Amino acid sequence: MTPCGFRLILTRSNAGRLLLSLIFLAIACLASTRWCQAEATVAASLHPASFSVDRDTTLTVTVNGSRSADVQLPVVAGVSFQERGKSTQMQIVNGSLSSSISYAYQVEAAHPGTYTLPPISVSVDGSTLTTRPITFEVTPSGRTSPKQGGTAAPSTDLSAGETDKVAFLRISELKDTSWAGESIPIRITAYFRQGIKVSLNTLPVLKGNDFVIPQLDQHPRQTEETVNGTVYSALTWESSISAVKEGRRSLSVELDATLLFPHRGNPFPGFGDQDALQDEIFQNFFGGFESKHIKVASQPISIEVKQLPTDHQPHDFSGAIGHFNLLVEAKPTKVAVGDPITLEMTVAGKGNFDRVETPQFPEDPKWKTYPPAAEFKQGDSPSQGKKNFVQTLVVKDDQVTEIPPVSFVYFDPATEKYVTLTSPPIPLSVQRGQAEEAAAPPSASASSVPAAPKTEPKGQNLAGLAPNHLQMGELQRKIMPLYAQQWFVLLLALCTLLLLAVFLWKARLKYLRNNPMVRRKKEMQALFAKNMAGIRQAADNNDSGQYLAACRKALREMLGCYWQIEPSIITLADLQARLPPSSSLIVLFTAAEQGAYAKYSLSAMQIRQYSDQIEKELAELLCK
Amino acid sequence: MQVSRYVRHLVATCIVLAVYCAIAGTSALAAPGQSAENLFQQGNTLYGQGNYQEALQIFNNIIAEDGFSGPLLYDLANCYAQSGQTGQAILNYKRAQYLSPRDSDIKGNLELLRKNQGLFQEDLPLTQRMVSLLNLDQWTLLAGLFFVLFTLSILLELRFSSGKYLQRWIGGFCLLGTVIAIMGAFSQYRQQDEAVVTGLDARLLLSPFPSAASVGTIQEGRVVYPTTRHGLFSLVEDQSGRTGWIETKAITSIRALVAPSQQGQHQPDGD
Repeated sequence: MTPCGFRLILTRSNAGRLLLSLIFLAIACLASTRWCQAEATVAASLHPASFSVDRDTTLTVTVNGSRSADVQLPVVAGVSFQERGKSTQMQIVNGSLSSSISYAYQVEAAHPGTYTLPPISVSVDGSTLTTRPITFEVTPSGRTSPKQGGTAAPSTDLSAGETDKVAFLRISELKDTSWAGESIPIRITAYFRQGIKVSLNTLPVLKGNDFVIPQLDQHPRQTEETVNGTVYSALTWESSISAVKEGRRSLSVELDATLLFPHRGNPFPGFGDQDALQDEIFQNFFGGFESKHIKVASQPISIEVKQLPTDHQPHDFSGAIGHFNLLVEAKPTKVAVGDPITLEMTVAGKGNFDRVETPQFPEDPKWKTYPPAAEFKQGDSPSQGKKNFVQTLVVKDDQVTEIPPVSFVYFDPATEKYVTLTSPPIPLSVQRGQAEEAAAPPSASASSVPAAPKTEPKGQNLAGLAPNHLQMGELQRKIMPLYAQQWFVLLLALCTLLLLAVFLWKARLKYLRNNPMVRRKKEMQALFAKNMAGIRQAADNNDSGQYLAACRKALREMLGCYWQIEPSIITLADLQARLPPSSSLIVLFTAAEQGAYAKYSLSAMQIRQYSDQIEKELAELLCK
Repeated sequence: MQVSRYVRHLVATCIVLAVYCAIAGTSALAAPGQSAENLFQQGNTLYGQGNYQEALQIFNNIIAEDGFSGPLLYDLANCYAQSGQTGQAILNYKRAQYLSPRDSDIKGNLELLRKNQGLFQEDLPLTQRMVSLLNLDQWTLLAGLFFVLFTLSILLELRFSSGKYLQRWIGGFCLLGTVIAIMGAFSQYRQQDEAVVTGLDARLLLSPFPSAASVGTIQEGRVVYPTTRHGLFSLVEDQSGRTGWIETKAITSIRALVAPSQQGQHQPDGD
């Protein structure tokens, strides 16, 4: 097959694009990870949304699904923005890569009032996205009198021990009597005098071990309250507590915080007018803030914790205290013996849900029950919600016509009595069949132990298990997925390289096909190298006949390729017609022709001389 | 003629590398020691006599000293199932199933145990059922096989000029097979991180703190998918889509099984 013939076969294929697709696939296979980039979204939030004119707030613009963005902040009269940095986050979960970037800005307002930030434009990957408008309120400075205009902040009086304090804690809306284990609502409020920047180091925690409280919310409600004529920033947590010990118990909470006071001293003593330097602008510019670590504790509150009555306490009482109701549903209600039935029991209401256990399904040999799964959904307040229990039942007798009632017991603190809730029975249609199939053993393979144990097993003795295998098989030290195994990766890499090589080969052929000059030059280079090797070998052998034949062949092939004619038809006349009369190739070709058709031979000296000339002339031919 | 020589070189190189791959693939499998084999038989004898705890001890010792295999993990799972440790039993059945996916005994015992413990599986949609016909390794192997065949079809196209129409059909079929198998492998990729609840009375919490409110209980033996960790807790999603934080020690990853001599510590069950 000639090179030209082979080229024809390859050029008919248009597999280049196919190969490209495949290489990408292979690379994806090798990497074995998914790059799922979701569509970019932007969101902006302002926290807190209400602040005084002498304080600032933080605007956060979050871009999900991209690692770079250009945020164009709007211009709002009286509001200034200062960039506070950005943070990027990348996360790989189950191979899916997600990234987000957050820009933080410090926002300050010159005057009190209600402001609206118009939608913020964010350029992400060439497209422009916008956030929703944000409305925020700027209140007057904390050092000024309570709000002028608008709604006045709630006003209360300071209790004993709270006077002259920059921060204090209060417990409110708490009952003075409780049952042990009862979940009672509690409101905890932390007050900080306005004008002071506060950083909370901890959430409020209970002092002592007499009560327990669930995890408090990281983002308490923020309001302003006026206490004894002073405006305070108030942080409020709504939660519930439970007493764990009977008797009169003391309750108190505490929290750690760091206060940042503005410097009031003159940073430049003796420098002119004191009053001028105590201007707020100078304070903020030169003075900065002074931090102070404090621990704030509430006034202790005494609560009488009563013991639950033991008289007439039902045996299945689990400790649930409050007010509840019970809803029971089952599906399907048409089954065959051995089929699973899902019984869904919902206990809803108000109380200590952590003590609410699964309603009791009566023990009955006609039924087989499985451990239930429970799920709690909180309602509007911490002690409100509903707890959902899902239990699987299997009926073992086709005579069963209904799902028996289930019961749930709780203690009602309002009536101070135990209450038993019982669901109505649920009609059931049971067909005979499939009971035996449940106990049937699965098929055993050839490598299994054929006989069951003779002695009585110690343990659960699960009937119907296929026996142990007797052949241990090859041991290994790690569960390694196939895609991570060396031989598999090597095999894929090899295939990819082969495809890449084929692709490059075809691309090269296509290039040569589209560039005949380059192709001809390459062919001439190959011919030159091959023929010069033959000429040099003949010269080394000092064989005149062989040398002249090699020269004749080289000249014909090189000139044939150069002139684009068949080499075998080139004669001395062609050379004389096409080459300059002074060309040494004519002399050499004449000698070669004489060597071919007459007894003509060259001396060793002539061979060396002609060798240099022919190499030089043919090399020049290549350069043309 | 020159091109034919190239093709011959390519084919020769392929054969040499394929042989190397085969050798590399099989050389990793070392023959089990005689003592491990004896211990294995001893464990089976104890299992047959109903001494499940002693059999468990022996099987765990083999894993600690010599490594594990599909049959060994299956026998270990049977011991756990018979001794009432449902979570560990399902964990080891799943591990055994990964190593021996075509073993019907493993599948049968796993289904029986699940049914007995009320761990009923929800019906999967048709596409998921199709995907679950093969596990991750089988899908990956299929993708690799089709990819190799596709490569060979391209090489053969270089060598033989006749029958191009048929060659292209074969190449297209192999490429389609590769794509489908890769999709199957990616669908099964999520199973890579699955774990089994092995702790008793495990609870899903709203936050990764011991005092956090409970979302609900999760039964021992349930399969969950951990997504992130915080301190002593892992955020998991169960097969019904329920999410919550669970104590990390209450779940065990199926793929986390490493013979302790590889790790330098004795931890055959990962718990």
